[in-house]
Amino acid sequence: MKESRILVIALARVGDLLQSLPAISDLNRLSGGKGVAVVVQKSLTSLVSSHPAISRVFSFDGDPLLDALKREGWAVAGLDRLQEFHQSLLEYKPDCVVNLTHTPFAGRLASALDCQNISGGSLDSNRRTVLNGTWTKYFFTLLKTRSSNSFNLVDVYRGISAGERGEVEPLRIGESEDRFARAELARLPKKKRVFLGIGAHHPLRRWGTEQWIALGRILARQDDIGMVLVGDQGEVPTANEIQSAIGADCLNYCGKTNLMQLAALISHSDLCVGNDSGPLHLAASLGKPCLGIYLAMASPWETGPYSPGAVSVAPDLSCYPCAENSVCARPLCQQRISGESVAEIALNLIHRNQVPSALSDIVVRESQFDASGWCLLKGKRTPEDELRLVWREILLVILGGQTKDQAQVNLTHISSITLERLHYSIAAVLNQIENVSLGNQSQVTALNLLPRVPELIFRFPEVGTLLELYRLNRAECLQAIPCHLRCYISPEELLQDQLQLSLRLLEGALESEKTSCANSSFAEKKPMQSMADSCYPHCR
Amino acid sequence: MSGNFLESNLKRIFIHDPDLAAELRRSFQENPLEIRFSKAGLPVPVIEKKCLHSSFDPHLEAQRWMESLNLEPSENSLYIVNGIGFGYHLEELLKIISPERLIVVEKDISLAAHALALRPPETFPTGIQFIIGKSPAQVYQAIQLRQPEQTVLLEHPPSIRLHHGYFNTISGIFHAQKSTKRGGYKILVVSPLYGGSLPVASYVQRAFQRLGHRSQLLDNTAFYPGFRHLQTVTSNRQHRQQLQGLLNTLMAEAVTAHILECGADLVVFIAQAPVTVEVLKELKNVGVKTAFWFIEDYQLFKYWESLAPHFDRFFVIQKGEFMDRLQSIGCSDAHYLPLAADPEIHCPIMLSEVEREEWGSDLSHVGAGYYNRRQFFQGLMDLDFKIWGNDWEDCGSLSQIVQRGGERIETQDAVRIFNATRVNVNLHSSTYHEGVNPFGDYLNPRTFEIAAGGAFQLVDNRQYLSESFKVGEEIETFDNLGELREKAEYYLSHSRERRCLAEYGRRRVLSEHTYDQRMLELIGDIAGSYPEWTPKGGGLPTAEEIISQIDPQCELALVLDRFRGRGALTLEDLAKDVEKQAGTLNRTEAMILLLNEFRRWGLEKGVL
Repeated sequence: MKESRILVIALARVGDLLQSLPAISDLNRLSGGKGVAVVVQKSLTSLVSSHPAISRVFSFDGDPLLDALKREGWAVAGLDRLQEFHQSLLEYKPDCVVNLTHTPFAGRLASALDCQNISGGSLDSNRRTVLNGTWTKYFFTLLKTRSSNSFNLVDVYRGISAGERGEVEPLRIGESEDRFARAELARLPKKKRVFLGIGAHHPLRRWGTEQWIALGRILARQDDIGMVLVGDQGEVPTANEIQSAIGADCLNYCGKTNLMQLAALISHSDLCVGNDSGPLHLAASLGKPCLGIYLAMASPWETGPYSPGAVSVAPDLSCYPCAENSVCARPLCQQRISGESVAEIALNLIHRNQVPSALSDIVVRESQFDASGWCLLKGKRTPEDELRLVWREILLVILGGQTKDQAQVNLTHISSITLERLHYSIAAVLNQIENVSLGNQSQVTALNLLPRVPELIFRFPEVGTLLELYRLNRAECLQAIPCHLRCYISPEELLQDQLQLSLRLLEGALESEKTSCANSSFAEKKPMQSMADSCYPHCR
Repeated sequence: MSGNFLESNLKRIFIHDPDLAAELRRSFQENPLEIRFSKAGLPVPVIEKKCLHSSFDPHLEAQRWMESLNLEPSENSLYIVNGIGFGYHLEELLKIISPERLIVVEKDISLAAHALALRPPETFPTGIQFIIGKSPAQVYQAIQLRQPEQTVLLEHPPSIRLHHGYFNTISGIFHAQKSTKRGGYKILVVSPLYGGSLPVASYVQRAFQRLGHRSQLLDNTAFYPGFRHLQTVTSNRQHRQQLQGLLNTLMAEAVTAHILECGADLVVFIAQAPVTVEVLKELKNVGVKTAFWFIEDYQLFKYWESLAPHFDRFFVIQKGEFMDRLQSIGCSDAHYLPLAADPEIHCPIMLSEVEREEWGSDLSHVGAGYYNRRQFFQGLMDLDFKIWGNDWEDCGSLSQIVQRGGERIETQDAVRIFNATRVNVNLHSSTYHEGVNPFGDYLNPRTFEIAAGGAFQLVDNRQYLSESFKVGEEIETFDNLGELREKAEYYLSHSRERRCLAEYGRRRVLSEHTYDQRMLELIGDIAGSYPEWTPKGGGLPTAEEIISQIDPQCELALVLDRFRGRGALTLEDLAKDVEKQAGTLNRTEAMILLLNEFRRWGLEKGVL
């Protein structure tokens, strides 16, 4: 179907907006190249206004609304302003709205555009979230099942928007910004320019100042490398400290550029090293070599730089990645990745364009793209990574809409210990479902299982993704059923749902894997490490 | 002086308020009043050498008073006159309004009694409501019972001069409560880190909320572990005090940061809440009103000396010498505000047999192990007596009856204990008396809380007790151990009398000693002292006000129409209402939901 007027809601921070751009390019192709309209925060307008896939930008300015709410508490003035903005969107008359922002505000906005065709989250009049499409549901599972995810957020956005996949168009740099960048960087005589993106929105995601200094000092010893510090106003004190410690071969642009000037500077980089933040994703969007440092709740599987050959490093720690909204008094991950290790990778990337072999205490991964164009990380595999890959296969079946008969789950590359963990969890959850189905209160089975899903995810994280998807599906279905009829949901309905089918599918794949490895190989195949018994609460 | 008209005037009052009639009769007989006759031959009361009406022609003076009011009478209004005098001004007022719309408020019962005795029934026709000798909060609540559409407050100037603080507080309460139609004042209640006054902070916050203000509790208990830790850092007392001083400064700064961010109109600090003089100066500079409720013994805790003059208002639970001391350090108008109970929390509860067994006994005491209690309670060891509370370490034989290993008793458990105990022993704390403090004045919170719970108590005799309760009818007291044992034995074997006393005590608390009433007085005192004090931004608008500013035919006006007569309107209320509506949303409704979603986002991100 060729959509003619597509509106994308991307009311996120700079990093997320950059990660939405490939989906916007897909949608542009879907519209036959007519261009896509986007709703973005006013401060980010310049970043997207010259993008080739974007035909119109609606800038949302939240500051006057905040002012009005602060001043009046009630804000008739705010309502007027919002109405004016809303009217401009209505006049655009979108025939397809794609919401790539997860806030209830964006959901409400998507619902208020008189458009029946909505992808992404929206809200109904009772403030209940409606998740349109399976990829959207998957998007909403990410916060809870991060450790099982192997899809880059860019691919998730592309899945939600369901555009026509193709080449990702890079950001365009304007002439004046480019002149600015050339003039500024002429102050750095050395040939190779390494950009250091020292900031991140969340303090736990920021690499330590000492580590940045250690990295900078090693790079400064190279004859051909000069450094450029980039970031926003908030990072100025840290940047000053780093710059004075590194010395003369370092320029500091923290808080001194606008977004397009920053993009122009980065477009002249030979490597961008950064936390999971705007500068790193800018470099990836511009197709420049990247080295991302992923700490705390930031996972390269989810938000790694979406660019072939981009490298990400993460700590090899049992507590990593931590849950969203974690509070950590002693963030070990910030110390685990040393300046020396990052310097070694950076030097390899600059001089030999190679990803170095494994380093102690850290996991190094490289972004690559499979035949279908999906981003996949290559490198050292942890047991969790193996689970991610299992889920990748099964989720592609679910998210791609294949039937059980068509689906093939290939588990040959998975270690035996991972298979055992998975098998155990699947059996345990299936056991729970069957107990619920066969219980005396058969008419309320679906309702019985739903409230237990968070507990099951906690006990069996290996199948958390499916459980969360199940919860979102069931919750949505149940909301649609009038309250007084809910007790009549039959066990048959539960038996036919996606969760059990998916689990059976995976169980079947595991069984066949066992059979093919009969007598010898299954138990011994790729042993990785022993798992503590406490990980396996006995259930059968 | 004969009271010619007293009985005929009281007859009409008796019908509505027999207690007041009796009180007026008693007061007339017991309290003489100086009377002069004006040149026109009319009686004029003289109090503290001041005439309450003109000594030439009270009628003429009253006419001029009426002219100065420039009243346009309305059938929907209630007219409240502060000050009865001898009623000449009321006669003038009654020429243009009906007696049913007139309420007369007077603090001095004796003056009212003499007015009723000396002025003819025509001065006080049937229909007038008299509110005599009640606290400002009771005055307000009594008037609110009539659910007035509008109230007009009129003042009799000589009466106001005589009881300036009292009438000021009444005017202040009306002023402050009027603002609740627009969301009221934004009030921040700052709690201490720990201790007996900690729960009071939440009672105060809840009371303000019930009164219609936007109150918030700033809970400082999170600092308590740090405070405890500092005690162990060094054994050098001076160093410890310095460290605690630094912590106090830090906490006070944190409080200031919070206050400045939330944009409060008033900050109420409860005793021992972290605050410094610098913070108070800063708050004064930004126009935030500050009040302190010092709910502890001024002789035991001395920090009030440095802080009291810097608050806009200082509230205390002791009078007499304390007031003089406050005056001597420049805090001239401290306000006496006794403790109270929160009837939503301190209430009678049904207990199962098992709970009665667990929490009950013949006698019990809930409280910390102060010196006098440790001595006094030795004399109750032979009875079925339980002690609940903390700080009872090293208490010798008493440790046998200290419950739960001397752990702190939470409020809800304390209420269970009050209810399950047949005789609650309430001995006010003292650090140096052997038992009852013969000079004890103020009442502790437990006095009100036990009574509010409908439970029976024997309380040690306190100077202020008879101001709050009728001793022997609503509460029972003891002066020494012998009296306590004797009365305990009597009431344990006379359960009906015990229940009657407890019930009367409970009614008294509900009518006069709730935190709602105390906070009405507190905010009334502030609003009365600072007549220009209004909520920042004028408070929240009403639907009518918003409609008057927009096109009355527009969608927003039609949505707002549902909210007419419902007072201050919040965006959240409006959004909730829209969410409840069935059918398709119109554009304005959709925008209301969207704006509310944006507001929630702002709150979540801390930018609102």
